[in-house]
Amino acid sequence: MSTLHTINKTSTHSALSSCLKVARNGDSILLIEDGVYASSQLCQSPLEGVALYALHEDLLARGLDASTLSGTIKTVDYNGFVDLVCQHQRCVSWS
Amino acid sequence: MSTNTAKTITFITRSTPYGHGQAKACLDMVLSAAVFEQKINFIFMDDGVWQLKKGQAPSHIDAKDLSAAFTALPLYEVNDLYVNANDLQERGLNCEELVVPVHSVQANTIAELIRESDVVFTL
Repeated sequence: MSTLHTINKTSTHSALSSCLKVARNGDSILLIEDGVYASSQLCQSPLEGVALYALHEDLLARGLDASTLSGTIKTVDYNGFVDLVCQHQRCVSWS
Repeated sequence: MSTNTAKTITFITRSTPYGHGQAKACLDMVLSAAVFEQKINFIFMDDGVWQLKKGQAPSHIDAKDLSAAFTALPLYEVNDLYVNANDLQERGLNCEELVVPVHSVQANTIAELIRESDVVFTL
């Protein structure tokens, strides 16, 4: 019954905060496009039982290196993105 | 063209560099105004400060590197780049991590720049 939440906006938008209100145990959150700018925010508010991911290509494109994600956020490439979609019953995109 | 007819044009860019055309459009406007030898202030606020981050490699998402163009701005006589200091700080950035030298200023300096401008564009 798990959900993959994708976020493509920076934390100045409400996408991440809205998602965090409804993400539940067993769900995953994936930061894509401009959402990767919110990775430092997401590191500071880890959710119990919610796996955190960021899209590697979008991090590289924006000059953010994955090492700043301090292990709480795993990086996936486009193939990993597809795997995540297949592993969850549904996707919810927040923007 | 005698400079006394030149206007002061201020551009405030507030969007992230990729995924949409706003940042590129603003840069194109700055370069066009510069070609006509206007006095230009180029201000980076909110998420616009991300445009200046070093180490961008947008080839990974099939996009052109916007930050590379900033190094050419002095050739266009655009030397006055301003960044809102606490927007930088809120995003964990500092001036050393930016591709070009900028004036890191407080909001009231930006307010003054606006008041001294003939025209202001925000994107």
